[in-house]
Amino acid sequence: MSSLVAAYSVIFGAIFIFTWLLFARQKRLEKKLDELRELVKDASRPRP
Amino acid sequence: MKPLSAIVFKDIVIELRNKETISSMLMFGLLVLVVFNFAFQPTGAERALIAPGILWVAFTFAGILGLNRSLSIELDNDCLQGLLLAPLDRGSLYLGKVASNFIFMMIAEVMILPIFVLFYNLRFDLQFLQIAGLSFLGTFAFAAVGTILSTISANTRMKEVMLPILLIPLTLPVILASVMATSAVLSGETEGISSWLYLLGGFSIVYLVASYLVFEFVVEE
Amino acid sequence: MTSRVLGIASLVLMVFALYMALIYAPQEAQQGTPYRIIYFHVPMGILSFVSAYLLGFAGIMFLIKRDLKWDRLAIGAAELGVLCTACSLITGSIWAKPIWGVWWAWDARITLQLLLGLFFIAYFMLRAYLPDREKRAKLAAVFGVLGMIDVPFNYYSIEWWATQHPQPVLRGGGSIDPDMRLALYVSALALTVTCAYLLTRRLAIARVEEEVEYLEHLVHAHE
Repeated sequence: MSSLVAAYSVIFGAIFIFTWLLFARQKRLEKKLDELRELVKDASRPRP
Repeated sequence: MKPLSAIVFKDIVIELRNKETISSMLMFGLLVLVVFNFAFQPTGAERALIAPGILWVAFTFAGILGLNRSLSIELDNDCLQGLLLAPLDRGSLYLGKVASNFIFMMIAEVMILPIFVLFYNLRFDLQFLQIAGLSFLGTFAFAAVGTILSTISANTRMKEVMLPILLIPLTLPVILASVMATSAVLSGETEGISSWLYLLGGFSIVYLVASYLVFEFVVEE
Repeated sequence: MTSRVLGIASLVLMVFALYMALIYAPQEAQQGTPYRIIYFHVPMGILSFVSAYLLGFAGIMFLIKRDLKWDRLAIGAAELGVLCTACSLITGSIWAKPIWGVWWAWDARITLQLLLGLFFIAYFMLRAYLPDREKRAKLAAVFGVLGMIDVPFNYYSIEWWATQHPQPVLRGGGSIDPDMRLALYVSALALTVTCAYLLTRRLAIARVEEEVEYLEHLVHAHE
């Protein structure tokens, strides 16, 4: 019984961690993308 | 055929001048034989049991040393660039390097083999010739995949370290088949040996063809 | 859109697969409860091979088309490969302990799985040590193709070397209870859909990653 619980928690834990890492990565990238877009926009604006 | 022999000839001339590759492979192979004997301290009967494994570990690591050496010769002074500028197609360049790597490994192995037979109290008879034949097949398979992987690893930042990491997982079938066939020869039970020989032959042919086709992607800029 | 549908489908299917594996499937006579590990252990093993072939296929397509989208597919496949080999190895080990008495039996299929895992890790190490984007994609594609070719050789060499593992339950005419077979199919489907969902997410992220890289390049060039 305990081996069954252990094995199932490994599988679901691994899938969960994998998914969580993916979403964390996406969030971080989107934030960075916004920052970069701002930078590019600022740079392309004509200077006074 | 011409470019192939030219590359082999060039490598042999370089080797005859400094004798670095073969001497270091030979020394390394010998050290493996000695270290394993200390590590296991085998008695008479065990010795024949573990000998095939030790022999192929020695061959594998000496081979990796040789492959690394053969590429660093090309990378020093940008020799590889020169080879790429020469009027020969990339596939022939690959085949030429396989041939010269194979020849160097075989020379080192032919020198390691008698010492191995001596150290592990085996016999110099038909068995010896059979093991030499097996080394021929196994080394060819090893050189076929080792040459392209050493060219890949030469492009990375950690050249010498990357080669074994890439090479060992892929060549495990070769090592396993060679060890199994060698122990079949040593124990005299050669019944199931043909499947291992087919595996070695098949592996060599498939990897030779595949690497011949993709080699240009590895060397192009 | 596809990604959302796959996500919902995978959630539903996973719950259904758990029901099938834990309640619907009958008890096995000899092993008792631990045998139920099979419902997630076997599909994970199969999916790790699928990932290896997907990685090789993406490599071939990249070498032909020179489109970085195939390289992104290769990364996704390799990451799934690490996930699947890790899951099948760890569950296999947990299962082996009560049944065979050892954590690690060096039997044929477990060794093969380990090698596959090492191949995926070697693939990532190779990528990590190649600085140039174009070159990284190209050399990794070549290594992926060579690795894909290696799978059948590994399979047969290790098969002949040692066999303690039970013969495959899905292939060949092994005797398996029809209810168990159905539960196994359901869990295999559930895990396949989950992996497909994760792959679509990963591909979307890889696209953003490339955009970020490009914009960073622009900004640095401007400064």
